[in-house]
Amino acid sequence: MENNETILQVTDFDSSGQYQLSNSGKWAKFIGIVYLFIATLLLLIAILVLSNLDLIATYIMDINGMSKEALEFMMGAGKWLFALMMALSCFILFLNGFFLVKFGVATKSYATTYTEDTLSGSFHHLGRYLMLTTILSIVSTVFSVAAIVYYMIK
Amino acid sequence: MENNTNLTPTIKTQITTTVTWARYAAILSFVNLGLTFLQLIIGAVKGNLNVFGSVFSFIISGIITLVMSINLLNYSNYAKSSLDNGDSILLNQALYHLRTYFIVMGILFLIIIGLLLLFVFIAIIVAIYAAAK
Repeated sequence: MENNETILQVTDFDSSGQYQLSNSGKWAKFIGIVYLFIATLLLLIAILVLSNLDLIATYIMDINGMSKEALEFMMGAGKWLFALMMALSCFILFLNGFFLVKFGVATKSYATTYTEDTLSGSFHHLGRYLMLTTILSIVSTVFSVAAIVYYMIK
Repeated sequence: MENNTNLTPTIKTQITTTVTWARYAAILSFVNLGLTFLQLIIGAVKGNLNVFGSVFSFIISGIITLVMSINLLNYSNYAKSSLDNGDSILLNQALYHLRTYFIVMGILFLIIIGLLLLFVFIAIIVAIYAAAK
């Protein structure tokens, strides 16, 4: 037991580990910024589409034609379904980007200060990002299983 | 100058959290890959499948998923061993795999951004050509 505690105490974070973490942080920050950019773009698209839905419906009717039921769905529940899906997508993308950027910023901060707090912060944000990734993977797995069951029943 | 940082209990707890979530995320990615393969098989058996396109996209996405998941799982395994044995070299190995995971994802994003820019560029060229005609 005493021997184990001594071993644990000598575990430290050397220059090689610092380099790997700093590099991971740089890439994570880049990916995070892309996520935030896409989230913003999606939000803008959603706002533009929802504010011009009448116009879009008219164009679609002119080109393809549309039944009364389809038009009613598009202007009623369909509009809110679209808004909900876009809001959910933006929120997930934003959270992903937020945790990745925070991880990147924390690793950069650690690379200049070498304090235990900043290192702890880096792993904290990385943990949050991985937790979100896991939750999204669970949702994806549930949908995949549902799709397989649907195909097999059909 | 060496700026080694001691791994305090708080940092070790944070690393342990990342180890757990990284393992779950990696395993779920493998499961999802398996489920996608199953969907491909079912689609082929039922005959409603563009075989070439589906198999090609499965191979590409499968390779990317495998590379990323293996690196995430390696990060988890090495970091756990490092915490169990108090070995800094194992922690460096873990972080090497974490770095590879982010590099693969970053390069993927760069390729997608490049393709999108190329698409926009081609669309502009086509629009200019059509307007000039």
